[in-house]
Parts: sequence; C-alpha cells; structure tokens
Amino acid sequence: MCPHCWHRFAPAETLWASAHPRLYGDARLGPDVQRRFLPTRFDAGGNAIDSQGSFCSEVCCPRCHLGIPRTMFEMQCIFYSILGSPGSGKSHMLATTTWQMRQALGTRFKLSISDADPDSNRQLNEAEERLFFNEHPDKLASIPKTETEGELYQPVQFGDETIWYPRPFVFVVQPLSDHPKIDQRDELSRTICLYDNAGEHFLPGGESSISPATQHLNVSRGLLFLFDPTQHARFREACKANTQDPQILGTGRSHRQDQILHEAANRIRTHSGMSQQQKYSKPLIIVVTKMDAWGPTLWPEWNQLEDPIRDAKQGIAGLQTSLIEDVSAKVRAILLKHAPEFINAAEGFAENVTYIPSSALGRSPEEDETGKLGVRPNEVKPVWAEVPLLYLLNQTTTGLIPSVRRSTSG
Amino acid sequence: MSYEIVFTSASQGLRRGASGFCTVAATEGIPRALQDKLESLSGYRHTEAAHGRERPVNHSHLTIRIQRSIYHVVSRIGDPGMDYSKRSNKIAHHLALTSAELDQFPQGPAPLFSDDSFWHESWDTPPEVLEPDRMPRSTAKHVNGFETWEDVFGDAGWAGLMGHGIADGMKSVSVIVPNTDQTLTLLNEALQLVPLQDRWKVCFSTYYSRHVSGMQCHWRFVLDGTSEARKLRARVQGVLIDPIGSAGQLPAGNAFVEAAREGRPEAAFAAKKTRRSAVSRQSDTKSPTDASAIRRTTSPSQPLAGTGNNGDDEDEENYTPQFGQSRRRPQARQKKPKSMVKSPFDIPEEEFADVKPSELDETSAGSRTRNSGKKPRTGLLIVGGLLMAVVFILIFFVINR
Repeated sequence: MCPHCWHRFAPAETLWASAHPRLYGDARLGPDVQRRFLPTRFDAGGNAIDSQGSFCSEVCCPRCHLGIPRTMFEMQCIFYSILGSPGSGKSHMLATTTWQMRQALGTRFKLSISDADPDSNRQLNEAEERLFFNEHPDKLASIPKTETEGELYQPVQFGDETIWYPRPFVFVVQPLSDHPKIDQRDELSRTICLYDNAGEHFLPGGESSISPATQHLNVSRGLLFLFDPTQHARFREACKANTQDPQILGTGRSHRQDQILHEAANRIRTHSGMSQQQKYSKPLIIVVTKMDAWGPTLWPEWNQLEDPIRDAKQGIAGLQTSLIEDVSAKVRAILLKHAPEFINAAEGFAENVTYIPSSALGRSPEEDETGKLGVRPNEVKPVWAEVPLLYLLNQTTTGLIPSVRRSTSG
Repeated sequence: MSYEIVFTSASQGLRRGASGFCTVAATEGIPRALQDKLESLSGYRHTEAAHGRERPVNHSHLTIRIQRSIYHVVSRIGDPGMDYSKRSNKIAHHLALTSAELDQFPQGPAPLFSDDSFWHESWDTPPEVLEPDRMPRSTAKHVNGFETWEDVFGDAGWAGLMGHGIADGMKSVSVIVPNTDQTLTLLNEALQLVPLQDRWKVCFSTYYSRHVSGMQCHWRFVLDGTSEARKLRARVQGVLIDPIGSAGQLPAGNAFVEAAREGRPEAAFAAKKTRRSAVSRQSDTKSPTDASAIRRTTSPSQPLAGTGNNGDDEDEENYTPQFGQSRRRPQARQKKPKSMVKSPFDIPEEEFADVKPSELDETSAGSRTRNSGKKPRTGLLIVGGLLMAVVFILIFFVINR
C-alpha cells in the first residue's frame, strides 16, 4: 500500500523513478522530479533499467507517483494515526516519542529503529534535533506550528487538480543480532508509518477534496488521540490555582475535543463502511498530554509513575501492560470527573479504549520576550512519552514488544 | 470578478467551527474550489537562514486554473509573529484576478505590492467577509537602471539573464539571494527587461520554497542557506543565477546582459527586434532545412551561466531570444517535430490547458494510452481488408461455378 495516497496495488504495477539525468519531468509531480515509468528491463539485482540505460533504485506508487521506501515492499507495514486538536502537542509528542523509542528499543528491547527514508523523516528529525541536540540547550527553542499545507504535504497533479497528500514518517523496526528471536527476524520486522497532521485537519470541515490529509485514519491499525486538558475549560479552571503554566493561565485556547473525536469517528465510519451501531474494533489510545500542567493538581502522584518497561529474564525488556491498565483506570476517573463528554465520545466509538497520561517535555513551556512559547532543551525530561506507541505496538503486533506480567511471588 | 482571501492562524475562522490555520477573510461569494486552491498556496517556510534580518516575505504571482476559469493570483505571504496560541504563524493574502481584469493593471502584477494599505500583514480582528472587487492601487515605482542587482551581485548584467529567460521561451530562472530584503526591488528592476504586454505572463515568487506540480513559476528567488538553495546547487532545472556560489560566468555578447549593464533595457528590445527581422529575412531566402544555421548565426552561442541542460536543451540554448509564450519556432518544428515537446511542462500554459489529462501521463502505461488512439483506425483497416478478402473469395467461387 502506498503510504502517501493509500492506494493498494500489485507489485507488478510498481513504477520506478528513472535515474538518467536527461529523464526529468513527471506528469504528476512536475518538471523537477525524475520521470516515473513502468519498467520492462531489469538488471541481475532486480533493479529497473530506464530508457537511457541507467540503473534505477527508487520505486514509486502507480497512482500518485510519489516514492515509496523499498522496505515497505519487504516487510509488513503498520499505519498508526495521531490525531488531536490544534495545539494539543502532536508534533512535540511525535518528536519526543521517536527520540525515546530510539533510546529504549535498542538497549532494552534489542530492536533497531531506523528511518526508512531520511529525506521523508527530515522534518521530524529536525524537531528531534531542536529538543535533544540543540547547540544552545539553555536558550528557548520551539517547534513551529504544523501547517495545513507546505513542506509536510506533497502536491500531486491529477489532470487539472492538485491534490496535497501528507508526508508520512516511515520507520523500520527489526530485531538486533542479540535478540532472542533473531531467527524469526522476517516475521518480527515491521515498517511503521506515522503522520503528523495539523490539528486543523481534524476539525469539522477541515478536510477538503484537494487535501485528503486524514484518510490514513481508515488504514490505521490503531489511533492515538491526544487529549489536551489545557484546552478544556473545566480542567483549566480546576488547575488554575496551582500552576504558572501559561497554557492554563492563558485564554482563548479551548477546543471541543469530543467534537474532534466525533468528526474522526464519522470519517472512519464513512470511508470504511462501518455502520453507526458498529464499534471501532482497533485500539484507541487516549493520550492525556501535558501531564506536568494538570498532574500536580489533579493527580499528585504523577511524578512517581513507575517505568512500565521491565527487564525480563529472556534478556529483553517487556511492557508491563497491567501497570498501564491500572494507570488508565485512574486517568479515566479524572477525565470522567472533568470531561465526561469526552469519555462518552471515546467509549461510544471504540470497543477498546486506553487512557495513558504523558508529558512530552516534562515541564511547562516559557514565554520569550515576544510572548512566544518555548522550552529550554536542557530542561526537557519526557515522562511516559514513548509509552503510548509502545503499548500500541504491543497490542497490534505479535512478538515485537512483549508483555510482562507483575510477579505474584512478592 | 476578483476574489481575495486572508489565511492565517486565528482563534476563530470565517467558517463556523474553524480555528488555527484558516481563512479569516474572504470575498463574498468566492467559489469554494477557488478558496481551497488559494488556501493550498499559502505555504510558508519559517527559516533561520535570514540571519537576524527581517523575516522573508513571499510576493508572488501565479496562474491557476479552476474548472474553466484562469485566475492570476497575486499573493503576499509573510510571518506576522506569534499566533493566538503563542506559536509560530504566517499570514497569506491572495488576490485572484480574472484575465478580463488585467487591463486595469497594465504595468503587470509587481506594482500591486506597492499598496501597503491593501495587503494584510497581520490579523487580530474577528473574521470578515470582504466586499467584492476590492483592488489595490497599482502605483508603479519609478525604476531606472539595475543598481540593486549591481549592489547585491556586483554586476548588473545578471539581471539580463532574467529577461533572456523570458524571451527565450519563458524559461524558468532561479536566483539565489543572500537575503530577501531587496528581492522585490530586484524583481522590479528585472521586469524592465520584459515588455509591458508580457509582464502578466511572468509568474514569480520572491521567497520561493518549493515547486507545486502543474504550476509555472518563471522567476524564483531562493534564499541562500535554505534547503531549496542547496537542492538548486546540486541540480539545476532551467537557469540558475548564483553569483554567491559562483555558478558560471555571464555570457558575452548577450543583448539582455549588455542592456542591464548599460542600464538601458530598451536596448534589449531593439536588439531583439533587429535579430527577429534578420531571422525573418534569412528565413525568406533560405530553405527550411537551413533553420539550424540561422539560429547559430543570429543568436549568442555561449551557454548561459549555471544552465542545467537536459540533453535536448542544448539546441534550445541557441535560440534567438523571442518574446511571448510560444517556445516553438516554425523552422525548428519542421525539422525536429518530436524534440519540441519534450514533456508536458514545455507546453505553453494556454496549450497545456487544452491537453487532456490522460495525454499527460509520462509512464509507459501512459505512452501506451497515447498510442492506443491509433488502434481503432488500424483495426478498421484490418477488418476492411478481411471483408474485402472474403468478398474476393466469394466472387472467385461464384465465377468458378
């Protein structure tokens, strides 16, 4: 399946990007792109040969002509969607999650995680660098607000119409040589495909025919919905007395997040042919973000959260799902008290809902001299940022992120 | 009728329920397809390559097609500072003019940017429906000479390549600039090398960040230090003007380069007319097969600085500069019909609009589709032949009996 336009096609239909310098200009992608073609000649290594005799390596979708990482042809691919209102912290969450995953997967799960296409993941890598590799770690840094058009989207020409597809972030996860199940490498390896949409795309009416930015919802194996309590009037009111967070003390940032979830549910139902009575059977993870802002008031033990990644006897770590489920129950109770309409929307839509608290930065942002929000990179300490995605992997794949159960002996 | 929209990040948009990046002002009755298209043209790249200077502003003129209508979109896209949520922001103000309205602005699109009171640089009021037919005042600044080109690049002659690109079949020209403070002035100066009647044909962007397929942008000003500048230096399509990165030399004997150096843009037109008449005189006396010889004798043969040749372009570089959108010279068409339309993007805009989408497919499959148009005729011939054969056999049997 194409990660750009979600078109399913047989391998024989795959187009190749020509490699010869003379073969520039593609009808779908414009004059600055190497021409796409359906090959008839291949070299011994299986690479196509273009009309000028050059050996090609890039494969493309027959519908949108955009390049597809070759690993997507070699491994099972899983799509996950991240959704939430504008300003709910999707970009920060994504940058922190991938950074934390890069740390944890190798050392504890004996898995390697790499960019399937570094050029495609460039925006995400830049966001990671701003937060974790910044040359001025003591100065305020920020990730720009995600745009509804621009670099995170790719224009494709269909006749007179230009359609803007969201750029996917594609990662390859596979066992390292010291993984106990290295002999099952082919079965365990996965290509993970994520999208960083602008929150505006999830608002009612936010998707147009020329920007089908959220159609990945239909092919996702699981949804990560970011619920931002600092955008909820009752949460803000409850936390006001005990915080200096500008996101809680400020005004005008409220969004009806239950409506956004309803809108997403409608789009999924419409495109996948689900009836209104039918419930979404894949996991829906509600990530309750910015825990550092609401936790001190509403959940004082937030900073004593245990690490759900536990080292097991087999030499690799596992995810303590029971701990996550316990925490989920506690967070659900908080949400039920302050945002019952949201619980109603989530549980009315999906069968399997888990509530995971998280803080991508581990602290409140600060305002610079102009009033713009930023964070000092040397003070970034994510809390449970990688847990939602690890849990989703645990729930939707077999063997990649194993579960561990709490020992009953103690 | 002209239409405009203002697109930025605001707590409340014009459409009910919209917030964040959304349209906050639009002309009453704007077609939805046009609004969607204009919104999609609102991309802006926040950059750190400005090195503490003013945040770049993209002044652009693009031509778009919505169903059967062609619009000339004049836009100003800039960074207004933080938005309501205290994050980065941008503001895009687009004015879409129909071809019928262009006569009101004979100086072309660039002077429209001089009316600061028309263009929104920030938005902190409630959403608004704009009155129809609001127009900026077109006050063409008196531009004389190419001093800014000389100041920025050390040689005013570089501006000549801009004019030459337009004259030479509307070729795209990219300019890598050290900062974007003066790109509008550079643009205005370079436009002196384009005749008034052709100025609306020139699509430009003073802070170019990416190509949108299906859309022409002839003059692209790219900020040095950005990823786009790096990509351009790695591989050029069209002509690259990059005195900072020392991409080649200015061609000697080029009328446009000389006209820019001398500060006499009219000299380029005069030289063009002289050459055109010379070409026509020689065409009258020579046979069509001598066309290539005419090109060689009447045009500068030196390759342009930083030109990215794509094989067949080598022939085109020797064309006599010629104004207008047509890239096809009659002589060349007679000699090399196939090479004249190398890709759909070589087709002038008006012609491109008439090409069916299915004919634009560049894939092998697309090629097969194009060829398949001949199949019915071939099939008819085969069937006709077979019928004739059957008739002959029957006649043969009848005669034998």
